[in-house]
Amino acid sequence: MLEQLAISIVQWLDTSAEWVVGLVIVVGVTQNLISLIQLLVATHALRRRSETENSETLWQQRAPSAPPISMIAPAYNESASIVESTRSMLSIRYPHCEVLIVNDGSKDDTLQKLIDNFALRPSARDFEIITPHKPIRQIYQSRKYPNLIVIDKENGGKADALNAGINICRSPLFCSVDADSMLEADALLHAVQPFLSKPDTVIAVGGTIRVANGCRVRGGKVVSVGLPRDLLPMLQTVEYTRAFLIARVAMSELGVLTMISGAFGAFGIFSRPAAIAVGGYDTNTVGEDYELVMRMHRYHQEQRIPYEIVTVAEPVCWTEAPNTLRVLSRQRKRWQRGSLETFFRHLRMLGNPRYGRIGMIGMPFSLLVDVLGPPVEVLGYLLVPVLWISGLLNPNFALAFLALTFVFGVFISAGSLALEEVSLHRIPKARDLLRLIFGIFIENFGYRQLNNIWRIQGWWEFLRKKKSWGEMTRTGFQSSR
Amino acid sequence: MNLLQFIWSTSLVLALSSLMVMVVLVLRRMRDERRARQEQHVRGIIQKILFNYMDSDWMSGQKDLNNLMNMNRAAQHVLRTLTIDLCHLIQGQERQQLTSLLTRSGFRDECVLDLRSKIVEDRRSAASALQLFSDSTTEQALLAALDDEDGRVRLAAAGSLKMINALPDLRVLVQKLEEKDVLASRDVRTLFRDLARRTPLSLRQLAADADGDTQLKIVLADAMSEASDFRLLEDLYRFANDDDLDVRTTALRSLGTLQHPDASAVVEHSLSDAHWQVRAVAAGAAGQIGLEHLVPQLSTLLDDDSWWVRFRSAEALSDLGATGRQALRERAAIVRSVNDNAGGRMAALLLDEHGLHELVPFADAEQAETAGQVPSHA
Repeated sequence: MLEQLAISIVQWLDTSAEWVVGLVIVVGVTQNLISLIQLLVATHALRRRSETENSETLWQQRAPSAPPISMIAPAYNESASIVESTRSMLSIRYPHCEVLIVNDGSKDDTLQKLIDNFALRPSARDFEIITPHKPIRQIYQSRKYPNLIVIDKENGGKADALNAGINICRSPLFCSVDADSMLEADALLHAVQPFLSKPDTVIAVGGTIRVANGCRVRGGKVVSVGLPRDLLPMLQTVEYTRAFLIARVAMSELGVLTMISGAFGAFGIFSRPAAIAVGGYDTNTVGEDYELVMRMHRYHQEQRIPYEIVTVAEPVCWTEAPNTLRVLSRQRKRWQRGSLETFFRHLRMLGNPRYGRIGMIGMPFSLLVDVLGPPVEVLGYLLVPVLWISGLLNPNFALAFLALTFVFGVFISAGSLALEEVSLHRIPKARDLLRLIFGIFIENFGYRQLNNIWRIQGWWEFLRKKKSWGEMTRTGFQSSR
Repeated sequence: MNLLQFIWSTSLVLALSSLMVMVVLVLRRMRDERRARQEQHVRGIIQKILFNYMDSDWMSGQKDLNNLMNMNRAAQHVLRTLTIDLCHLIQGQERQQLTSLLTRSGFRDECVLDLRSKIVEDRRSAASALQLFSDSTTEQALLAALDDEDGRVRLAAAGSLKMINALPDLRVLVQKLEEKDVLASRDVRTLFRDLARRTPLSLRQLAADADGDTQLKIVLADAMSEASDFRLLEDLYRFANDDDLDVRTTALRSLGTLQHPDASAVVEHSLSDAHWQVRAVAAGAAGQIGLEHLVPQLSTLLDDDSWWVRFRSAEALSDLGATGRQALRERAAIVRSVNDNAGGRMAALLLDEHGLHELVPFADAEQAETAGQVPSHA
C-alpha cells in the first residue's frame, strides 16, 4: 500500500516536473522568438527612417508648422537636479513651448531652488479642472522666462501632478517629462514629426531615452556623450539600447505599442484632447504612463476612432540611471508592479478581437514578457538544479537549453548594438563600444537573474496591493563626469 | 540531427554570429574614428578653398574649382556636405555658384537617379535635395516624382518644385496629394502658406472649386492667413460660414491673423455659434483685429459654459485697449468668492496674469471685507 503510494507520488512528481520544465522551455523559446521578430522588424523600420537632419535644417523644415507644446515635469524631492533639468527644458529649440514644473508637495527645497534661480512670482493663471488632482497651493510664473510656470501643489503622486499640469497647460499637445531627465535640444522637433505628418490620427508619441551617467553635462545639456564608469548604470545602458532600438521601434512599426517611453513616463508627447477624453492619468497606479496609453488604445478601439500611437528612434531624453542595487531594485519592483496593475486592469482586451492588434498581439506580448516571464524564469532557475540532482532532468538537455538562452540574449543585444551603430551612431568611441560588448556578456551572469528576482518581488508587492513609490535617490547631473 | 544536436548547433551559430557582429562593429568604428580625424583636417582646407571660390573673380575661381574637383572621394563627400549646409544659409549669386559646384560634382545627377530608388527614404531625401537646382532636368525629374507611389516623396517633390518656382497647376498638385492622402499633413499647410505669400490669387481658383472637399478647404483657409491680397477675404468669409466645424475655426483663425476690420460682421456672427470651439476662436479673432464695438458681446461670453470661450474672451478684452480692460475690471470687481461668478473670476485672474491688476488672494479679500475694508478688486 505504502509502496504504491510512494510510486504514485514519484510518478506525479515526474509528470509535474516534465510539465513545469516544458512550460519553462515554451515560455523561454517564445520570448526568444518574439525578440528575434522584433529585431527583424526594427531593422526594417530603421532602414526606412529619415537621416537625422542637422539642427538648422530640422528647424527650417518643422518649425513653421509645429503646434504649441506644453512640457509638464512633475518634481518630488528633486532638489539635486531640478535647476539643471529646468534649464535643460528651457533651452529646448522649439517655436512654441511652455514649461510647467509641478512641485508635488516636495519635502526638500525643490520649490525654493526654483523660486531663487528663476525669479518666480505668484501668478493667478486660471484653469479648468478637467482631470482631478490634489489642491494647488500656488502657481508661479518666472520673471526671467515668461514661458516657465511652476505649480506648487499638495502631494498626490506623479499621476496627480501630471493631471494638474494637463489642466493648467494651454497647448494642444503636452509632453510629460521626468524632472530628473534632460532633453536633447532638438527633442521636440524630432518627436513632433508624427503629429505633423498625421495630425488627425496620431495621439501619442514616445522617444528614445538614454542613460546620462558618464556624460558631461553643462547648463542642463549633455555636451559630451560618455558611457557610465560604474557597472550597474553601464548594464542599464545595454538594457535601454535593447529596449528602445528593438522593442519599442518594432512594436510601433507593428501598431501594437503599449508603452511609449522608457520605464514609466520619462518622455512622451500626448494630444491633450485625447488624454482628456480618457480622463487623464490614473492616480491609482505606479505605471501611470503605461496605463494611460493602454486606456487610450482601449477607448479608441471601443469608440472605433482611428488613431496611432508611435515612437521615434532619435535619442530625445537623457536620464540618470540608479547606481546602487538598493535603488535599482526599488525601481524595478515598481516597474513590475505598474505593468501588472495595468495588465490586469485591461485584462478584457487580452485576445479580444474587438481591440484589434492590441488585443491580439500587444496584450499577449505583455502576458508573456511582463506577467509570466519573471516567475517562469525564476521557476526555471530553482527547478533545474533540483530536478537535475534528483535525476528527473536530462543534464544534457538542461545544459543545452541554458546555453541557448544565454547565447540568444547575447545575440539580440549584439543586434541592438549593431542597429545603434548603423542608425544613430551615438556611442562615442571604439573603446566605449568594447565596454558595452563586455556588458552584453556579463549581464547574463547575475544581473539578469537579479532583475528577475526583483520582478518577482514586484509581483509580490502587486499581490499585496502595495501602492507607494519608494524613495528614488538622485545625485544630480552636476556630479556627472 | 536529433533535438539535442539541433539546440547546440543553433547556439553555436548564434554565438558565432554575435561574435562576428561585434568584431565587425569594433573594426568599423575604429575605421570611422580614423576617417573622422582625417575629415576634420580636410574640412578646414576645403572650407578655406570654398570661401575663396565664392568670393573670387572668374579666373581665380576656376583655379579653386579645379582644386575642389580634383579631391579624392572622401574629400568630395566632405565638400558636398559643407556645400549643402552653406546653400541653406545663403542666397543670390553665391548660392548659385555653390549649386553649380554641386552640379559639377555630380550631386544633382545622383539625386535624380535616387528618385528611382526602391527605398522610400532615399527618394524622399533626393526629392528634397533637388530644391537646390533650378534647371530643366531637375524640374522634369521632380514633376515625375509627383506621381511617386509614396505620399511623402510627392510632398517633398512639391516642396522643391515650389522652391524653384516650377509647380504644376495647383488643381493637379492637389489631386496628386489627395491620391496619397497627405493633404492633412502639416507640411502641406506650410507649402500652401508659402504659396499664399507668393501667389495669393492662385488659391482663389482652388477655393472656388473646393466645395465638397473639407480637407482642401481647411488647407486653403489656413494658408490664406499668410496672404497679403485682401481679395481672399471673400473666400475666408465663405469658409467662416461653412458647415464643417474645422473649416469655420480655421477660417476665423486666419481672419484674426489678417486683422482686417471688414471681418467684423463675420466674427460677430461667429461669437454666437452653437459650437464652443468656434466661439472661442471668434473671440480671439475679435481681440486680434481690435473690434472694440464687440466689447459687450465679449463681456457676455465671459459667462460662457466653456472655459476656453471664457478665457479667449478675457484675452480678447485685454487686447482691446482701455475699453476692453475696463470691461474686465468691472467684471473682476464683483468677484466675491472662489466658487462665485466664473466670468468675473476669469476677468480678475487674466488681469493679474497679464500684469494689469494685482490680485488680492481671496482669503485676504474676505478678511478685509470682514474687517470692514473694501477689497482691492472693488
